[in-house]
Amino acid sequence: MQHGFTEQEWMEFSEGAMGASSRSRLEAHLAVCAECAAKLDAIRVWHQRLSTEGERLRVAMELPEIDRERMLAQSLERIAAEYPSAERRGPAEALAALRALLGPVFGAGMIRAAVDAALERGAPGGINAASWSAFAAELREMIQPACGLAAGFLALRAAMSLAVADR
Amino acid sequence: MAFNPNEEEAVALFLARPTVETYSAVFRLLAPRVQAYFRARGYDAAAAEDLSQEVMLVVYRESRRLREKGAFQPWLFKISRNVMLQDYRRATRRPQIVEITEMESSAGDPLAGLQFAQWMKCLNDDERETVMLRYVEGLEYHEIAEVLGIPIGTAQWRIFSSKKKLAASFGHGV
Repeated sequence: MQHGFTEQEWMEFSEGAMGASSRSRLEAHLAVCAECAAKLDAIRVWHQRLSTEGERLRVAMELPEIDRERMLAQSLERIAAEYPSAERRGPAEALAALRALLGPVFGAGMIRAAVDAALERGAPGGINAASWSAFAAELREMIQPACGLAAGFLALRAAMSLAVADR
Repeated sequence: MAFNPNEEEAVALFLARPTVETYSAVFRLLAPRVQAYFRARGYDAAAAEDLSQEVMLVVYRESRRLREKGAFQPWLFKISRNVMLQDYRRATRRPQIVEITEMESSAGDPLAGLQFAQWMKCLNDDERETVMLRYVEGLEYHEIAEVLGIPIGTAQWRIFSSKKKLAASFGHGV
């Protein structure tokens, strides 16, 4: 595929990166040279094939939501372990953060109800650093029957990834 | 694949204030793409998950150094690539491109990857990585150049020469 054009020019043309005057010259050549037109067509076909199969591969590798949330909970645990004081929150802040974390997965209404019930059972005297674990365990108990074991475990890990201060 | 508005907003919020909430939003959007990056390079699901966790931890740790949200995507894949190269050096597992053929498919498409793996065998390492960043991760040329530390023209050239090689090896037809 030369015919008076460099490989660099063919590359620029096929990638749409060629200036207008060079492009017209090359287009004029393509109109009369079946050999170059066929070779350029093959390049375009391969662009299309790679795009299609690349997209197919991407879709096939999509991560199920439950795996993604499990990975997130693990990641938050690692961050909490690595930066123990960086994100320490007061009780109200911690509850708001937990609702924000779990709401997109379980639904805001479901999380509100589960948190309220877990507060009643796990931390009747209010949330503080000491009662947070009991509250988290109760939250797991609330979510598990409706959403399954993995979901309950996710809620527990998400809660335990938040560090709570006594204020 | 350019960031959609949701991704852009999540990244901007995270860079402005890296908290558990903003990090979680970024994680939900991008960790699956990082995991797919490793799966597409032959890692099994468990290994891909381990490496993705390493990448996302670096993202959290180092995000304060990055100010420009437009630079986030190449930065993310540059970290992914570095983590993979470190893993290669540890030599505990060295996936090969042919293993894509054994990849499980979570979307019920067991043939996804077979065709791609077959094609990739006729390319050299540099071409293969460039093609995958372009067509699997969906990066633009300037982003590929940033990830691989090469000029944009080199990235374009690798893609062009790869397509020529593929056409020569597999022809024009199906």
